[in-house]
Amino acid sequence: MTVLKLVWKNLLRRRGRFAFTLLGITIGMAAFVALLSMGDNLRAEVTHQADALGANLIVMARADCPFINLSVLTGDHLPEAIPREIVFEIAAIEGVTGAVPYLTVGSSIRQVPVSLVGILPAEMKRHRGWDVHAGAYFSHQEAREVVLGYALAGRFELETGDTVTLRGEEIPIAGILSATNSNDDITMFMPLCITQEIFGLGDYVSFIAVTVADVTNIDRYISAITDIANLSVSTNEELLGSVLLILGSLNVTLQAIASVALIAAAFGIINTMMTATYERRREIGILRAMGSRSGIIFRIFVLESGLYGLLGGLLGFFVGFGVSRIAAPVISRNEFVAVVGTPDTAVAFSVTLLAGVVALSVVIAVAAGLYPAWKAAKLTPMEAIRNG
Amino acid sequence: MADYIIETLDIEKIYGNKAKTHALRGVSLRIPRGGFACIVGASGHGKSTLLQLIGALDKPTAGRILLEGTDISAMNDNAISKLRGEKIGFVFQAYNLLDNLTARENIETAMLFSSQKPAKNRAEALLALVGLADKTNAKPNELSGGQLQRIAIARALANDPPILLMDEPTGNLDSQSEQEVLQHIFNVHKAGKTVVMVTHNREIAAKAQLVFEIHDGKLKEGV
Ligand SMILES: Nc1ncnc2c1ncn2[C@@H]1O[C@H](COP(=O)(O)OP(=O)(O)OP(=O)(O)O)[C@@H](O)[C@H]1O
Ligand SMILES: [Mg+2]
Repeated sequence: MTVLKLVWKNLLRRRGRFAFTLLGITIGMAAFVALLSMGDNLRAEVTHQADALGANLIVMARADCPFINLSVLTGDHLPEAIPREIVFEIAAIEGVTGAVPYLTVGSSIRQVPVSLVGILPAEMKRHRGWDVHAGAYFSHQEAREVVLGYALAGRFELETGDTVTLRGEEIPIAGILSATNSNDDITMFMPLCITQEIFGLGDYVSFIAVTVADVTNIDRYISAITDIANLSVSTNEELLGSVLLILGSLNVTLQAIASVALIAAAFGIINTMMTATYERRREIGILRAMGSRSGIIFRIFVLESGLYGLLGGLLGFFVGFGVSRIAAPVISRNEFVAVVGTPDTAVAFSVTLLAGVVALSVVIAVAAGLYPAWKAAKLTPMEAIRNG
Repeated sequence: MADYIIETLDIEKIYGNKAKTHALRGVSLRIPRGGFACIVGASGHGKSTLLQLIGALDKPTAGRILLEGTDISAMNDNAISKLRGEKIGFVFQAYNLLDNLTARENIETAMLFSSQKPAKNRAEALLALVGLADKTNAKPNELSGGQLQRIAIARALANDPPILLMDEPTGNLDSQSEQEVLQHIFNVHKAGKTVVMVTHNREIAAKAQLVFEIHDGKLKEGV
């Protein structure tokens, strides 16, 4: 017989209550893990997209809303606000090696929202280094065709030669791009002028990705661009920084939600352990009469609640981890967090994370068990007689 | 000077804060090592109270209790716990076994509370001693009252304490089971333990070396 065996036997005595209390802490920890890894996902993905954009500077219309930065990275619809001739003027600045315009438009395939980006086919292909997976790339700069990202084609089971309907017009699919592991995979592309025409937009673009020859002289390029027009110019890092700031507050929100679940679970443990203390007064009295120090009684109860934390942490980790993996692609269809869950972005399994989660769970459970354990330890051997 | 293993000096016990019950009013007694003592008396006169105080399960309101010459009233809680584990075996009228543990586990649990490491298979040996070698893995709800009380005696002996205290150990048993249990108690006494037993049974009391009759919280002289 050991104290631990005694604890384990006590734990399993009321199987229903054991299961429900365990479920409470498991759900709490699972929520915590799922929300945490989704937050991490988002972060990793945004960083990845910022790299994938491959630009040194992003030129946008001036706006107060910081979410506009997020849209650049998610490929969501941005107002078309920059006259196209600005693109050429920027491209003409000395030292600018590329100025690639994007016109983002919200469209849909079979009623599912899909990002459509109007581009200059030749410049874009060079800038992004695309390969064509199936079919052909745009036959010329003003081809009335679309090219689909790899994952997008897969999701709607579209092939070269099929058509998509945009504003009532059937547009043939010229080709499908090879996977890039970026946002491009879930985007539909069309030549800029055709996009403007079909959607009835003037000769404007949403933003311009600029590459420069000498990144150490970035300020000079920024002032050269702002001399041309009153535009907002951000470096890749600034863009990323401001987006991560938004995600940071999103993370805090998610974690606050998870904390509520954890607090509820902690009260579940307190409740179970208080009940156990009350129910087992006689047994505690017997143990005390047999010579148990009050410290051992305290330890028995703390261990018992600690075991809830250990088991709940382990189960919760795997449940939460599983949920975040399953949920990531589903969430990625949501407009706001469209960046999550493009291929290969789910959080990697990590022993450190597992250990951290289990440790947190145990700490919470032990803390929840302290008061009941203290109550139990205060009982005297006379309880064995009074409740006998 | 004789070797008194148990000594009480003028102990008083008052229960309750508002409605006070004066359960013991100055009890002084001495029991020699290896003795067999019975505490008798009418119901509600303080027998159990006295036994619980000797067994260090409760503290007297006043007076002193000496076990093996040591005053236990001065001890802290941990020291008293150790004393309960190593010096005293207590057998309750209501058996008080742990219901979710088997006979063997009940005895092994008691062994957790002694600083001595118990010999291997001691639990089995103790169960054999009380004639229950075949009930090692039985749970309390599978056993009769007599069997439960024998397991309780075996548990009380788990850490080989010098003192065995029993509060009406046969009070809930039929006469057949009572005889069995008594036989084991006598055997334990013969093996050298000091035995103190509360009983209503005059026949049993007649076999004891010492009899303390308690009346209204006081010892009756000259019994
Ligand atoms: N925990 C307690 N709280 C208050 N009063 C108590 C308590 N325990 C015992 N008493 C009272 O103390 C007195 C002595 O009780 P005790 O249990 O010692 O009697 P007893 O001689 O063992 O009786 P019985 O033969 O019925 O077991 C009784 O009046 C009883 O009501
Ligand atoms: Mg009594």
